[in-house]
Amino acid sequence: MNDRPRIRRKDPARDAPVRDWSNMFRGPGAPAASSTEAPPAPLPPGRTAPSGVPDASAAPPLPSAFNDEARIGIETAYEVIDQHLREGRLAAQAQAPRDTPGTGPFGVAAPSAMSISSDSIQQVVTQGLRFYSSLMPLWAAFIKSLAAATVVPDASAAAAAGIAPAPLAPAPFPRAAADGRGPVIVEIASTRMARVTIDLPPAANAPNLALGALHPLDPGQPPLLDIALAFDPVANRHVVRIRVPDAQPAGVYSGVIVDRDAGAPRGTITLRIDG
Amino acid sequence: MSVTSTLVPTILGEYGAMTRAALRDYLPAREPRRHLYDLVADYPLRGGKMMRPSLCIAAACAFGARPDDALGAAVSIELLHNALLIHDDIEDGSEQRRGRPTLHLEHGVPLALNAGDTLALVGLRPLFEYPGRLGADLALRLVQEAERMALISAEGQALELGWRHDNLIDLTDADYLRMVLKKTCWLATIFPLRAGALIGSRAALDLDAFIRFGFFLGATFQIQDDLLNLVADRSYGKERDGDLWEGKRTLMLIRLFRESAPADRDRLTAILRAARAERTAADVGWIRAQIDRYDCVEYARRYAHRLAGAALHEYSLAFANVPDSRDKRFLEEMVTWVVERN
Repeated sequence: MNDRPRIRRKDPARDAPVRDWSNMFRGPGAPAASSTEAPPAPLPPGRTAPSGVPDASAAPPLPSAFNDEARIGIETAYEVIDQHLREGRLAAQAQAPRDTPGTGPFGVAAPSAMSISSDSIQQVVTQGLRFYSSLMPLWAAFIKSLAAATVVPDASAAAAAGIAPAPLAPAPFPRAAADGRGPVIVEIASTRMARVTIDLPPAANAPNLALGALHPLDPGQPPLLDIALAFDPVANRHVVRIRVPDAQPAGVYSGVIVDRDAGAPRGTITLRIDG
Repeated sequence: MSVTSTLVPTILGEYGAMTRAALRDYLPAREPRRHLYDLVADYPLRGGKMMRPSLCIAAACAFGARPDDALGAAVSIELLHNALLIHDDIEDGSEQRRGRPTLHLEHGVPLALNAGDTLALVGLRPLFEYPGRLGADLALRLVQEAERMALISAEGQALELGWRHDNLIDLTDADYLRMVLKKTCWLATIFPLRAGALIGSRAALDLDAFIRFGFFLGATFQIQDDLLNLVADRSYGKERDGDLWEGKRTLMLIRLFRESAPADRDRLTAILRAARAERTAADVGWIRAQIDRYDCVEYARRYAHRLAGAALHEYSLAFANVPDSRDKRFLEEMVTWVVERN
């Protein structure tokens, strides 16, 4: 037993983890942050760290000058991009009166509109020619192909011409929406067993949801295109309709549910097709 | 997240090969070859990392599109990028591009300028095929996006050229970021991501989130590129210390001026006032030594790491609620890759 008095050291000055973005780029076994290495980069007020970012709490405290340098650097960058976005919106607003209200600089309808009328095509053609008259040869080719694109694919046409919806497999959305609109209804037309999982938080159950193609996990396989998501006002529910072609390879497919009003992804849908 | 990504080089190789194969179809194979179309095809066929087209295809696929859907936009982006490179090389007086002499050094400025103009027009062609493929609205949105990108890139180039023309060195980091946002980020990252998201979501998304993610990713990329110009080996493909010879206003140079003693500032100002041809190796060597003396390389490296952190944050917002996929992971790992590449 050692008779020497026990050494007591003062508590460290830091009593909270130093969350350091830059530490994530340090390789295994590399020294922790020092005064010559990357300092912490705090996010601006109101911004939260994404999940999955390593906690760099093991790093020793850094001199305040470096903390200031990091904070100022990120704040500067956010100020630059915020100002750029503000300027972009102002420019878009300034452009709008010259065109149809609520449309883009060429008078094109809102981005969510995937169909186009003959009137708007005429408008596009006229304004396109006005803006880009100096690029006549290329624009001529463009407008020619534009005219060929007036026929909008009808999702129901494939169903009418194809397989009858034999084994209908309704898979009710497991969670009821908080606003009382009820769950999503799923209708699948498939000759094979197919299971659907929808991850759509009730709060995200906005009326104007949309769904594109379902993308296979295996990038070599074709996507599943015959899918539609619509709000049924009678049932007061969203209805997802999926038709699985016989030639569609077995596998897992997923897609993003987008809120067209907010222009933001709101949830996901996953479809597993058995072989 | 892995520190050294294997997915990024794999997908860059995969989507890069697709784009390279497809873009050959758009390079005119007719006369006059010697003074035009051979020059037009020169830069696109020299290779490159293919980061821009890969970002576009991956963003589209992450939102559910097939790679083929985004291939036209990817080809357009790569051709427009090469067109601007020809002009940039002339404006900057650059001597090397992808390990070979620049186009204007090989053929003279007039022919190179003409080839750059032609390549810019050729680069629009793939976009004109979208109406038949994905509909008229979306096709026109893509053209609008391309036009916006081209204008903003020109504004960014004007900023930097103006600084050099007026021998302005007393700049801030914010000035630098503003210039990089316009000159680099819109073409390198923002436009590819926005075009991909447009195609993948069939124009259903608000694209502002991709401006933010693209800015932080692109700024990180540019600072790393500026760093490599000072420290990289021959595989880098550009002239070593070329940015110093050209007097480019990099984050390192801006910090050097800010931190220098008055006498050193005067000397730096005098060196940068001279035309490139009048600058000596001793001048460039002195600037390089001062950059080390004032710790400017480490400063820029730290700055790039911080921006990469913000890029990951913005990525997490832009791709929230998007299903996990190889393409989504590629976009996340790109952040790490741009600061690790050499």
